Amino acid sequence: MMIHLRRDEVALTAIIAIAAVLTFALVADNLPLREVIILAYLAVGPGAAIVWLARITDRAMQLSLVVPLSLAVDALVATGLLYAGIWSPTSAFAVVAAITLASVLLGVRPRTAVVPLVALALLPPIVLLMGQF
Amino acid sequence: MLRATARSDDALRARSGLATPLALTAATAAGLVAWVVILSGLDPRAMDDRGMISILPVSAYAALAVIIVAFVLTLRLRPLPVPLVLGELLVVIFMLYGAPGIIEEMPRFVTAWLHVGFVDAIDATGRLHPLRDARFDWPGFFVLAAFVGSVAGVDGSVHFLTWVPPLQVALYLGPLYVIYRSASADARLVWLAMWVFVLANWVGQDYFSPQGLNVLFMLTIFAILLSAFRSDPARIPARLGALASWIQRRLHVPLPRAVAIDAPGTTSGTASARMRIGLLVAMVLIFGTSVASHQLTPFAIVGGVVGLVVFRRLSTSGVVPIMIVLTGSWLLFMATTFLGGHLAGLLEEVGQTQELASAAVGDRLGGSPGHRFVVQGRLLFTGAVWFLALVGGLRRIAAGRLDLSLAILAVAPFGLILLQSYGGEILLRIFLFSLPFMAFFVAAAFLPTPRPASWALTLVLFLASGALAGGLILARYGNEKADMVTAAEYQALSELAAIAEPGDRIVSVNHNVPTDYFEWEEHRFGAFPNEFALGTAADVIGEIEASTPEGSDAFMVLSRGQHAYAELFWNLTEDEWNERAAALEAELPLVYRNEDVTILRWSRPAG
Repeated sequence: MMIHLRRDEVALTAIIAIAAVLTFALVADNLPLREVIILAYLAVGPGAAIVWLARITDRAMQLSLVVPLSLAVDALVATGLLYAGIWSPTSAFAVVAAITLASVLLGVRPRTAVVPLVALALLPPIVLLMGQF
Repeated sequence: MLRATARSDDALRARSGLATPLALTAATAAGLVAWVVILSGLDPRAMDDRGMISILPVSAYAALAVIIVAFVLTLRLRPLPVPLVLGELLVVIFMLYGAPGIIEEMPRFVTAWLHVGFVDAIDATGRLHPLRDARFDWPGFFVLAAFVGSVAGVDGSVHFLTWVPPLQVALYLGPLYVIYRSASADARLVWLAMWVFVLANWVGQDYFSPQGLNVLFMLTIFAILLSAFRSDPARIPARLGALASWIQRRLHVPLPRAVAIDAPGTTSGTASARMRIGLLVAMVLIFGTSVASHQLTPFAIVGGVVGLVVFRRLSTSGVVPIMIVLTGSWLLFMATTFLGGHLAGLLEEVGQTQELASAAVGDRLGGSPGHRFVVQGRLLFTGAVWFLALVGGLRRIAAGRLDLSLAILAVAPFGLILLQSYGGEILLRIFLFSLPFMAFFVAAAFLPTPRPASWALTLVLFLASGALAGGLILARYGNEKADMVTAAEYQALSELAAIAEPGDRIVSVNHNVPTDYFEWEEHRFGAFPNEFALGTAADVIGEIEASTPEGSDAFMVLSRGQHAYAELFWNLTEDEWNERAAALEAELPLVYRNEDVTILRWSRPAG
């Protein structure tokens, strides 16, 4: 039980921290290392979230999956939007961020505290999406 | 024998305190620094038609030898220090795959530049252009790059191209480790196989391209299948048992107790139902991206998976229909422009006529004498890798292990030859798709041995690694004189982009010039190799006139890279090139010239 509790707490803290940094990086054009932050997020974020959700425990498999899976999610989202007639990298980013956050949250065991945190974490992609359409 | 092995193992363990890994780390770092210093001082323009080997000094090979020595000595340590061996692999990847970035002025290889042109076109127009290029019917890679580049604010640059190959090959290491680990618990064999892959991957498809990323996808899918969805090890059928006995008799090796099919390597424990579902979803997502981003790789993946299912090497066969439906649906419903235009020729080739560095191996036997030397080197290298893989496979069987899954995946890509000629480059792709699995068997040609601490083995591994590394430089960078791009070429084409109006036609002698990178969506491109090499200036101008639309001008670009290409592949001499270029200059007005590029203008005659 202790382990699960720690796992959940770490995940939720990570969600909030990453969501905050990303929102800031997207808004602030002149943030130092902005490119690195966004590239790193797109290269590992979605894959890491799905690996977390699937509870893949083997370290070598985790490391092998994170980048290709992230790039697959990025590519599928961006290509899907393009075929739907929407070429908007920011919208694609918002969708990828939403998938990532949803995967992390689904991987967390249900707790009361999750509900407000979900709302908080999903706020940046929702705001970004609303700005696009 | 056993006592001797145990004694030497103890000796190694005793000697491999902290001092040895530290010394090997220092040697690796020293080799790396020496390599960078030596290569930065080289003049890429001094290269002849044998490519990079023609300018590499002995000291560069010595720096490479230091890393190889460090690696083979590391393999002697017990237990194997994984951070050190991984560090050595990353260093050798940087050295071999990053070498052009250290020596040359600009990122190499015009096809990589063209791909950036595609990416910029998607970003600029927000749509695909399948009518202009069939690759837009499989746009996943280009859309991914346009998306990531745009949102991170790094679009419009080419300088990152230099570091794509080392980065991508480093990413291959993860799934390769998982694949090799599934077949052997011997850490030395696993890491040696990864080393062999890095030293033998000469075909150079790891540049900024859909196929480079798709190799990562392919490896990840097989890593998932071979670790979480493998069937139980099986006893060998009698007929294969007889084969094993025959090999054992011929090689005079002691009989193993039994021969097992796919005896497990290092297992990661039983995967939970949730994990298996997660891995299945991950695999479908990755395969779906592969289907949307490359014409050929999904067929290679499906071929391998069908092979595994037919030989009952997987615990599930459900992935096959999913993969076939995804591949077929994309071809029928999404790649419609391509199918509409090319259905008749589908079984002949996909039609990547601009894939310069990958003409048919047979065709490449032509060209200049230096280039023919390189081509023979490539054939020898490829043959040697396949031969060593065969030896390794036989050694494994003789030791009582038939690695059937890896053998199937090593052989399955040869089936692609039936599918299509793929513009003549299918042999290169077969080598590429089979190499990850061949590399395991090449490593198995050397390991394990009854005496793992033997100096003779260390010497053999050093010599074999040296031969592979030298062969890689010859084979991979053999066209480097044509593949490199200079700063003057970049400068000239930037000027051209400023001069040319939208709709103007940009023409050249051959496609080995990165014109397409600049405002690809605004111009039409063409090349007239036959008219230039075999005809007259009037023939070239006639073709320009016929292909340029009313109201537009055309710009004829003559460049160092095209000249080098004509020399390598057509054996056109310097005098012949100069004579033809002068004839064109006499007919068409000059608009720009620098040391590497001449740009001429063609305007439709009045009336």
